[in-house]
Amino acid sequence: MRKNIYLILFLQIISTPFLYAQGLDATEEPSDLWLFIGRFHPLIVHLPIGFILLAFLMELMAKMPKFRHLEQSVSFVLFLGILTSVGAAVFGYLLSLSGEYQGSTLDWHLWLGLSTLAFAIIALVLKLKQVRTAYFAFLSASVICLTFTGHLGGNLTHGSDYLLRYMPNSLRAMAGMPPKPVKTTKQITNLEEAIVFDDLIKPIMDNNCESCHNAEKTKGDLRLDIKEGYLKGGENGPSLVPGQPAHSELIKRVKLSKDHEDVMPPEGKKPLSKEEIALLEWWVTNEASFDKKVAEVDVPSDIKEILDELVNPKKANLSPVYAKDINPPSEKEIEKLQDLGFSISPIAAQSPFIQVSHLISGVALDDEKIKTLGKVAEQTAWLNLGKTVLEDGQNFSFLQDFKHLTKLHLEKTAVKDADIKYLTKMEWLEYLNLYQTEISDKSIEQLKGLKRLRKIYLWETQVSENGRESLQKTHPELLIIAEGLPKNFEAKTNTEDSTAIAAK
Amino acid sequence: MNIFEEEQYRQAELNTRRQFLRKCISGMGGIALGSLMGSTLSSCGRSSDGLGMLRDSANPMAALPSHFVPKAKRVIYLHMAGAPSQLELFDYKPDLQKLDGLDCPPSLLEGKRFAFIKGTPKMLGPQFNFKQYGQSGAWMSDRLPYLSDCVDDMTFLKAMHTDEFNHAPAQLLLQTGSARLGKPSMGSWVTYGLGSENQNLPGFMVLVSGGKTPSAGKSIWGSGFLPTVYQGVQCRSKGDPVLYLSDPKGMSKALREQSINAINDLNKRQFEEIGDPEIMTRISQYEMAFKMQTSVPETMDIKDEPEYIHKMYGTEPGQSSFANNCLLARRLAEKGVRFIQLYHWGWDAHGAAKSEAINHGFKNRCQEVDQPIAALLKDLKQRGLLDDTLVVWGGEFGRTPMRENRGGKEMKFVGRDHHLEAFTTWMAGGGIKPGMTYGETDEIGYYGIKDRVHVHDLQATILHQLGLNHEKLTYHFQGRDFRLTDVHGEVVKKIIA
Repeated sequence: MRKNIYLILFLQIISTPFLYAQGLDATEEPSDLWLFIGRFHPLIVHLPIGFILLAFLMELMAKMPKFRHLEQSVSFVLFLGILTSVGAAVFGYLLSLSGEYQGSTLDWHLWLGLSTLAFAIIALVLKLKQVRTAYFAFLSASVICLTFTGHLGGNLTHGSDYLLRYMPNSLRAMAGMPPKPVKTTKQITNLEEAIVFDDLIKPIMDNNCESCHNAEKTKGDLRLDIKEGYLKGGENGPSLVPGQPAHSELIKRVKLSKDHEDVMPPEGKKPLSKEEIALLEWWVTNEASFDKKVAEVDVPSDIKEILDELVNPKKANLSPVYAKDINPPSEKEIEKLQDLGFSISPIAAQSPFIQVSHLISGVALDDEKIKTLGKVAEQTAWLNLGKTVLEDGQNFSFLQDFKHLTKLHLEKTAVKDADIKYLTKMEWLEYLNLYQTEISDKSIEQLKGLKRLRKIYLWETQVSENGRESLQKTHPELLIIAEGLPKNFEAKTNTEDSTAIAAK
Repeated sequence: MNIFEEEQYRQAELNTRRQFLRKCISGMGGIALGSLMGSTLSSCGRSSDGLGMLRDSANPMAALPSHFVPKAKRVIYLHMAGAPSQLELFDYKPDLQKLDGLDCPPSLLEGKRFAFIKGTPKMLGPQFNFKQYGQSGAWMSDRLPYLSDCVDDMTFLKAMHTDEFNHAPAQLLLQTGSARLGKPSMGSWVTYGLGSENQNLPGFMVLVSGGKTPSAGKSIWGSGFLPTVYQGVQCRSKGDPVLYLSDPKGMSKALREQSINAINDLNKRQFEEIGDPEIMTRISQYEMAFKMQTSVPETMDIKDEPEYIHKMYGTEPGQSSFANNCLLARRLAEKGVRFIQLYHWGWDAHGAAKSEAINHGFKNRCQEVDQPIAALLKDLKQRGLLDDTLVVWGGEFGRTPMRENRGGKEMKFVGRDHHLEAFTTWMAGGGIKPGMTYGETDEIGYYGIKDRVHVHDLQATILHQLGLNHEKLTYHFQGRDFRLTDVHGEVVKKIIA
């Protein structure tokens, strides 16, 4: 009985490489049944991993007196490992017939897998023959091969950068690896000169498709890592019909609904965004050319918008100050300020910058409040002191520490021309509200120093038209809102009844 | 039994098996068990976004950071309950005028359901004259003469559509993201997600005018499965702004404060025992009610506004009107209230009676809202509030290009039936591109043919302007994460400045 089993195993090991080599030359399509069985390879591979590792662990544990009894079971577990390894090898071979995986990784995976099996068998034989040292050496060898096989299998499935993609740089340094490559998408500077495929389409494909359709892993016989792959196509024929997106498999697939069986990228992976799909369609419409520049093809308005967005990302809308690396405010100060009646929260999750407002009317800012507020001056991006009263003897000089402000509300306060000098250091200030204050033309010169100012509210102040005009001259982009509301509201006389029906 | 004995009795109650089993039956045990097994938020209401959006139930209105840097800090939502006709206000269809009085082609009626239209209705052209206004050249009818001065601050969504053609479900869908009862309203979601800037006022306030609450009732500002502290607080513009805020006879403010403190101490102990988040809600509601005794009257009293403001809004102190509510909305926005919801009733112009005819009732509605809304926009702009206040105006659906023929007969008055395929909503301020028209309907205003925006997309966009990702603002309830936009909604990126 036992001899028979050995014989079968031996034949198995000997024959697999031959079968494999034959499979490479085989031109005929493997039958569906083989492929169907092959797809169970991922299911079964984890069994030998578990069993062989378990056998190894039990062997180690059994060295301790407390776990001596484990030794009895090692051979049984190891035998299970061998049995399932055989299954995994067979299924794996059948899976390789599909041709979806190719290249040296696959070869290594195969040979290392078989080595795992071979070493495990030798170890079991030695174990039964009671040769302790050699047995343990072969068992260890089997585990080492197993580790590498498993790793390569993972690479085949998920792509070779899968494991280390998110490895922190500190760990990389310890392992003597170069730091994580910063993903540099070539920033397009001159849109007209950009090559449609290389600069606009390829990045989309590389991010979303290439990981399953490359030289090593060729799902559906389709390669999208090289230009030839697009036209050659895959199982379902060419992926592109230049000029006809509606008939191009590539476009059809990405446009299917999220839960459709054939949608690409497959379920569970991030679907393409509307804009990405629009760009792909546009590229195919324009004959799917691989070398034309943007200037040489027709750019409809909706595509133009998407491209503009790519060239000048809207992020520029946000003040660069928010990207500054500063220490977040201390919890203690925040709590104290909240107890003092300020409303405080970060301007966005994970941002060290905070928004502070003092909305409780009738409570004056005293020395303590101003001092505590000063402790978070560096982190404050938006400060709302509208309607706030200062206690006697206090002044606005505390504002000069708030050098990162982008929005400042001082409406309805006692702020005077003399206080504006405290704002001159606010190089990031974009919004300044001074309505209903005593600010006059004297402040205009100092306000001109605020280079980034975009909106200023001067309604019900002493600032004259001339003052506003001279400010507008130096800041053409600045929106000055000072018109105010009509003091004598003119009611609109009721418009003539234009009802078509009323005429009848 | 005095209060201390009662407290002791309560404590003892919690320790008896009989009580425990009885409570198990009524579901309290479930809550208790759930909360004993972890934090008070783990059983229900756990936010699974990993963005630190975990609510400290002790301070449910504390300001929280948004997911990303917000453009708007607050919302004023002007909901015209009953659904105004887009074809008489913003969506100008001269071609429809040519078809006026002709039978509606059967292709428009096949497979469609209407609330009242029967048989073959007649087409109905626009009932008022239209003109283009402002730099943006937006079309507007002569029914909104004041608002037409503001078109350059507004953004029109002309191809809005919804899934419901009856008032209550459509209002629920618009305000809570679901046509069925029980979901939190937009204001509740926003205050849950962001808290409020002003701890002395509710974060979500509701002002109703037009004589009736909307058809869907108070659920459209309810908090659904969120803690009730996030539900809208309705203020009246006539009489006491909030009922039962003033001290009862023979009760001084100090005594009231002591009573509330005592009750809250008892409640806190109860909370430590049981951990039901609703108890914390009750505590904060008591505290809020006490704070509101001073904060609400001073905010809601519009007497101190200058004369020219009253003239501009058309307000009269002491009256209950949409104009008063608009002025109040501006005052609440100044005070840092997060979500201000105005409802104005009576836009349901079917034409079945004079009060709901396009040539009578509808005209009066327009007159009631036109001046105050224009005043509100100008007022917010002058004060620098329009920058971070998002104003939204709209009904729950639109109206048909056909004239309603209730029971298949031509009616005495002119009206239009409910229509869910196309209507107009506009927005202003809050980081929305001003002076722009987005979306387009066909020649007769029946279908949106370009840039359609679903109600869920509108919700996603409003949340986006507040710095919230509508897919990440979730609440764990009944074993799954819920969100305002359910599984829909796309931010309308093209209208964002």
